[in-house]
Amino acid sequence: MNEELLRVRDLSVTFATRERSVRAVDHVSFDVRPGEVVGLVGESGCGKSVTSLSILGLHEQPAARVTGSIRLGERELVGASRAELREVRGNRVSMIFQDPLTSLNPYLRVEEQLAEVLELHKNLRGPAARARMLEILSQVGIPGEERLRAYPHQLSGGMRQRICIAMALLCGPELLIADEPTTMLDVTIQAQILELLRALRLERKMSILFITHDLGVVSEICDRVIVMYAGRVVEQARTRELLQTPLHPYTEALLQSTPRVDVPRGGSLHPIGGLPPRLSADRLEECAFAPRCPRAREGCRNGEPALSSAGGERLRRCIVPLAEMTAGRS
Amino acid sequence: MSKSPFQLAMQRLLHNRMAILGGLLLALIAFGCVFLPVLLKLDPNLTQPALRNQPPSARFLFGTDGLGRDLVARVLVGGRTSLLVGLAATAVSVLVGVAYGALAGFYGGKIDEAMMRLVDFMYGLPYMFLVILIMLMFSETARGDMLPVFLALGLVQWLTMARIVRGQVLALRRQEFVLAAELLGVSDARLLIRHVLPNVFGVIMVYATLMVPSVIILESFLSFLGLGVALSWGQLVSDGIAVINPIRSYWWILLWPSSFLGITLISLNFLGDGLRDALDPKGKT
Amino acid sequence: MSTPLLKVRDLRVHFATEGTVVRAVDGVDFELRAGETLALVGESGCGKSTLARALVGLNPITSGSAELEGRTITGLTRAAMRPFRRELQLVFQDPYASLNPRFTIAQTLAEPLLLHGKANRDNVDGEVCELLGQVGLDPELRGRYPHEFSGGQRQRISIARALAVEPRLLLCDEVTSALDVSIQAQILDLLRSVQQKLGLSYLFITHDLGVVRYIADRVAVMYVGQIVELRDTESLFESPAHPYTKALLGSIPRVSSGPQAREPLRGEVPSPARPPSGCRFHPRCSLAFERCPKEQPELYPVGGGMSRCFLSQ
Repeated sequence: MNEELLRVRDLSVTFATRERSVRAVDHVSFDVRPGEVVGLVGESGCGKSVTSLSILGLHEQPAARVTGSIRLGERELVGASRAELREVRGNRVSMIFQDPLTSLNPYLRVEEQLAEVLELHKNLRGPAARARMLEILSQVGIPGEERLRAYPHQLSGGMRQRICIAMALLCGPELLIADEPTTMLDVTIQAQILELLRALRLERKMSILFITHDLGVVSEICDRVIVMYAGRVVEQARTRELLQTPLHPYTEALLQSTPRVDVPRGGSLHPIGGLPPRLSADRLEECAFAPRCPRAREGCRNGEPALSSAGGERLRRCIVPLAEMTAGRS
Repeated sequence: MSKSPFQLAMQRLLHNRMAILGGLLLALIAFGCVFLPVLLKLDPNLTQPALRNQPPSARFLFGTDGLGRDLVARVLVGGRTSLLVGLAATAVSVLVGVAYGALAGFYGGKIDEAMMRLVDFMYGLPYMFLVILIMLMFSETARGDMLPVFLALGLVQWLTMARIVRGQVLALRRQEFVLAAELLGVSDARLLIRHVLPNVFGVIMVYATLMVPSVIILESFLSFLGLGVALSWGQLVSDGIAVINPIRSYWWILLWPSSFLGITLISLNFLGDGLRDALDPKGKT
Repeated sequence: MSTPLLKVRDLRVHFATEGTVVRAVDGVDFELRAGETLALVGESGCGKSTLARALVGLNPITSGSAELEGRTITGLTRAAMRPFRRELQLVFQDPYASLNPRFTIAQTLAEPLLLHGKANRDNVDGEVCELLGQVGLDPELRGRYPHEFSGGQRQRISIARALAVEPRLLLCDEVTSALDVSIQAQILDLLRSVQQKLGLSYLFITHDLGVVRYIADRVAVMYVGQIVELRDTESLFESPAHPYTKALLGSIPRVSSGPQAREPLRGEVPSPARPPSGCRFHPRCSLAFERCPKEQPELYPVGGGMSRCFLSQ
């Protein structure tokens, strides 16, 4: 039994606005084991980004109320003090974001930004720091010294993302949280970055929590996948199993509505009708996906289904019998 | 019922306590200055030398000045001038500035460059000097006439408004909804008036509200220098300071006009800030 | 062979900035037949959006021409473009910027209807309802403001606005790129059904090859301002001719049996301000040889289309 690196239990994040409360993340639980790449997948508003920001305590207080537990090893992160969080950030857990341009300080050169991290966490300065910077830059595929003196706006999108990855890796974190890191990059550059992340994960035995909406990317890099909808976990499985035999109608519908490069013309997309639900803080009276679900039936309106086991490590939040799901498309 | 962006902004404004407070104070002062002198039959110019330099009392709530004139009357009637000048001069500068800036921003390119060069040039002129010059020119011919004051003050303020509006229009002109309308064949005039300007309106309102206190101060300053043409708060403040001496303090002559002036300015600023927050909650202006 | 609906000849759009010339579109030729969907595909800096905007007059053209059924539409004054506004429309990418926030949906849709005489004051409301129905929106919503709609709904409204003038050719500039996958599928289906009903032609600009395969009859792959491959869709996907197309297809993460063992394409996407010499793809091409950095290849015929590569010559 593998000791989990990150253990999230019953995580809920509620935002209070003047008109109403919105529960963006609703009792989400999952684990990340050492050296594992876990994908957090869903469309906009599903809560995946909010979940990832909660791990490092990046929500603005008091607007966001975070309850539940996030354990990194033995340390509890929910409710941890600012000092404790600062010790973890950039050090044991790092994060990279979607837009590399806004993730980097436009007024500082690359070397200055890297130096800041090294000084803060590893107490490295001067030549020792510089050596470490060059080492990390070559590991992310930017050999040579010239880039150190550059400003972010002088670099391409792919380069900037590599710098962000380098910054995230400076202190040898156990967990890297990557929030849509390739969404804004060109396809050919995305392939480079994914290859880089795969290599780094193997070399360093680092875990990655990879947030994305792209099932193709999930297929490329994730070992396990957690599918989210309306702030909840609706399915969890190993990647191969999930993509070949989805056991939740939302996962299935997502797969069916994605235009595929390897499917000849003439096929049809099955769009998911309707709109994603408005999140509120109230308890749900029915399954969140029921209004749009092609497999919805009577029992779906009788209350939210619980997350149940579907064999092995698979979990799903649905009452449709397994046999019916595996029998084929609806 | 569907709420337009303007209605939503007004809703937000009504939740802003400081802005509401500012608005109420403003309304109170405006009402007082406009109506009370008429209702209470107050005369700011009635001199009663026997009653000069009286401190506040039941009869003269604000006391009297060096010529025995009722300060309540003077402050209220003076307020009319200050407020009127503030509003009128702002209105002039808004009209001129918006028209100028909108054209420059809408057409861009060489036209914009030329128009903004002119603005830059005028900004470089020592405007206080010009204002004083204008006031001197007119003070001979038009005692008590407000027009030169409006002109002088409006002449300076429109530059700022022009720059602000030009910037907003320049940016909006390239927004996709404006391009889409252009692609549909909508005429330039309609693009500017129906698509661009309504979306700049909010910014104009904010800056106009914040311009009024500037103008009032400017007018007060001119009055203070003795260039004023009519009774105003600035003039009263000037009077008040003139009688400061270490032996006898006629504090009330200075206190009331400066308080009214100060409260009006603060209220306008609260209102302006509130408008800015209401119209642009994400802080883009 | 009838006149093609759209004919683009050696189109160039260059921008002069700070001493350099950005050759955003640098010699593009293609034809679009009535009723077909031609996809324009490429990564950043390839010029596809610049090209689309140039065709509708939002970007000035440096040289070359475009004709709509034999009539020139480039190099015209704003006034001269007006009649073509009825035939050629463009839908933008960002659903949050393409609708006037102060107009109700009814006002947004009524404007083109009234402007081009498709309706008058009396019947415009009915026409607006019909337009909304055509794009799958409830006509009851026409009194609302854009901020009350989702991204996907706003795109439907933008499409309805473009359809109001009854165009022949619709340029779709990354119209689904800002939308969620499930909503994207809705919009793509809508575009397909509208095309069939109204006999429209599409110039579909996108970076997503999955979408291309789903919706396009023919594909033009662009790289640093030029078309490097122009094929009918199935030929392109089954047997890509140009090395860049092959690399592009190889880079796409697929929902399939696991990480692809392909080697990703090396190097950065060049800037259109400093295109490589000779064949623009040669610095990143694994098949490059001596001729490639020296000469610019033309478009050579290959099965089902053309490819800009000496290997296809």
